[in-house]
Amino acid sequence: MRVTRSRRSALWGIVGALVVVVALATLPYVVYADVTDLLVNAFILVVLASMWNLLAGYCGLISVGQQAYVGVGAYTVLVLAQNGINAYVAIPAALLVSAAVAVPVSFLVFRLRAEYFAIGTWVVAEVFFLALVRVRSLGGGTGTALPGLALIDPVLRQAVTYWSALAVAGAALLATYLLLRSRMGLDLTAIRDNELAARSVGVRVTSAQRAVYVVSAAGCGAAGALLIISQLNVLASAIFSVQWSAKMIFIALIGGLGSIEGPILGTGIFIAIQQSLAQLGAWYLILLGSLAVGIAMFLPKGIWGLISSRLHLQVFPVGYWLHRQDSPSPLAGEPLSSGSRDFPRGQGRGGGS
Amino acid sequence: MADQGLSFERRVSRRQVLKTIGGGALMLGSADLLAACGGIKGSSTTSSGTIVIGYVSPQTGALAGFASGDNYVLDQVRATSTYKNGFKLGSKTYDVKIVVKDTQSSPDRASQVARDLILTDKADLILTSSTPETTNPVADACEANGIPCVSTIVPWEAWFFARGGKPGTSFNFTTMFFFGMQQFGECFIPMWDRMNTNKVVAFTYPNDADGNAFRDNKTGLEFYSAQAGYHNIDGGSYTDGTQDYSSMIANFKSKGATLFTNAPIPPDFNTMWKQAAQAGFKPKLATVAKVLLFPADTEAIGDLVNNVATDAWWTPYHPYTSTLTGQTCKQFADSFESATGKQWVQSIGSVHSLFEIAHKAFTAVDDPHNHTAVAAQLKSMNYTGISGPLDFTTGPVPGVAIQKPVGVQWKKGTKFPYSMVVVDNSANKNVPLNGDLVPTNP
Repeated sequence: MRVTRSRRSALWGIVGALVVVVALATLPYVVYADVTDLLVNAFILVVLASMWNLLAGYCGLISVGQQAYVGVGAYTVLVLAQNGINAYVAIPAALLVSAAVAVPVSFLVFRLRAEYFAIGTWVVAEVFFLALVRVRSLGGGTGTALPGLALIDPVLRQAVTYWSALAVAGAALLATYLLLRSRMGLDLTAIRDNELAARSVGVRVTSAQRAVYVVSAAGCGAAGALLIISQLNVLASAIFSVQWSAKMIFIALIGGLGSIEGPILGTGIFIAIQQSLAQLGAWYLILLGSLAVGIAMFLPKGIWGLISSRLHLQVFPVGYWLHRQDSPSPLAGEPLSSGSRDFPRGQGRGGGS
Repeated sequence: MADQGLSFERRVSRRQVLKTIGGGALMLGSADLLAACGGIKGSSTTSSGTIVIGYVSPQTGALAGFASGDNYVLDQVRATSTYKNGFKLGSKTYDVKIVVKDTQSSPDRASQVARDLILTDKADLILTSSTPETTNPVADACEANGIPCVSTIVPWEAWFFARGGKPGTSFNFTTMFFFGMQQFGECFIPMWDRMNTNKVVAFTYPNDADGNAFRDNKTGLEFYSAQAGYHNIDGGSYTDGTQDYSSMIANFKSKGATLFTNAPIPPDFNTMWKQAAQAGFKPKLATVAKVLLFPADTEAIGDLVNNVATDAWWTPYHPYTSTLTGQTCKQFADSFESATGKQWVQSIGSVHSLFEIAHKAFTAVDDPHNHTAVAAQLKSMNYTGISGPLDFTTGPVPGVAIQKPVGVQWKKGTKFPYSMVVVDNSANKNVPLNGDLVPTNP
């Protein structure tokens, strides 16, 4: 028996990812700003959904309050920009501040379980919102414009915004990938499958969950920073809106919970539906809701779950594959055929518990 | 604070930015890379024979009442010969395409659809209406991308100051017509004066763009009220969506408030007004802003809406005619009612005027795709249409045209459950009265 991470050489995966990132990075020279602007939105959603997926899909922590960190990230950029710091330079700061805020908050919300945790996180987000609308210098409930960027040539601003969004999305996916391949990834998989059992075999459940919660907050903070930069204004009621959680959940759910690929696919599907059907008004919203219900009922592993179970396809191999010695080659085609059997193990697909 | 898009300086060219900004160089790591940015493709330029006009409003969600008349107005505008046959600019005729986008009542979505219109649909002009949550993100996107934009149905203070505007400056590409706090004062205070009360006014303003504009004690309605000798009781800066107003109402009762005014989102007024009735807070006159503008709001509240006063900037009784169709306000409202089977809404006048303005601006330039020229036309616009005289040059700031609202009350109607009756025309004598001002709670 032999255990590998993937059925293909991991090197090819890295090369492939690099090619995609480089190709995306050259886009502002190739396509017009309408495409890059759409991709900025897509990258923001990929980051948000991936961060939510990290919590729910791997950790069993259902949060409906990640918008708290979207807001913290956006307002961090605003405060720094008001003090003369370039908004793009402020993105890493937004990430760090969100992570720093998440540490004490985690001690509070981790006292709650399951549904109580979900509501608790939402309450935290509302508290952040209620506190921020009291600050007149940050626009209060009126909202305010992000200073400093409007005078930059729109073409350059659009391109730099795009590169920033690409960098954040790339970093978020890489961080997720590395986290899940680390020893902690194994802990998380164990927690996801059965928290009590994991605890009993010595997995440090709370610290693993806390680490993921902080990483997720950092990612959402960076997404919030991108939001304010792409919109050039911020309104507290919009940035702290529970709508962000709804979007994260929707995308992660239709794409496939518990896989890195799921939120990417889900974002693609969401953007495609939005671009083509948003003009239907209320029917568009009814359609989104029905789709979410349908997927949750009939495809609990999401669309990526369907694809990967049928095609045994993995773009980000984070699980382990067991190869039987009688297998002629680990690269052999279909499992369960010609004596070659590859068992996916703990590759982190499939629902909360 | 923000100096976004407010400079009178020439827009900084890409080359200048590339040469000068150190922050950018630091951020991107090397000057070489910056120099290479010369090859970035922006949005594709259009020199086509089609003028694209974007229209953004909240057609679904909490603010959908504001956009309830949009479809009719858009269909009618598209059917006018002016829009159907295209705009004639000099010797050339341009087709006109109107692209409509829904914000789902979300500021984020508003910003996104505005950028969609600019970058994908290559809009030459964007028109937007209804509440700062809609108009401000759209106008900000237009200002940042150098696309002309006209907003309406938003108090000018909530549109101008909330976007980082400073007195003595103006935006380069974005203009608006509606009215502001001074006009609310000119509309509401004469009605209060006629009520013969103890001059104690209960104010309930939420902590949002509109509410904060009303609350401002230097430029808000609170200022004009105090100037007119009224004693203001501010109920406090509550959050939109608040469900319990009992302590606020108790405070108004204990202070003996006999007049009531507010600027809430429509569902909140519903809650607050019902709780006030239950608690026995019966102000002699309620003059509300932002709610009860449309019949749909009145149905939700029922009989408690009887004789509540509000402002009206457009009614079928206004003596104005359309520059597009030649219809009078009365004919326009009648055609709306017969086509849709629904009661007229005052937003139809404003939305219609947006398209009057678009036509005027485009036919005054040589090249409709020259955004700077179109924006200059918008800022110097001065015409009279279905919304009455609109002068964008003499407003409180350049690019803002002021309308004069009249005081109206909701009274039991014959054709529809409640109808809007003009009861006070102190601010605009051109509009005839068609009813008496009656106390909300005698």
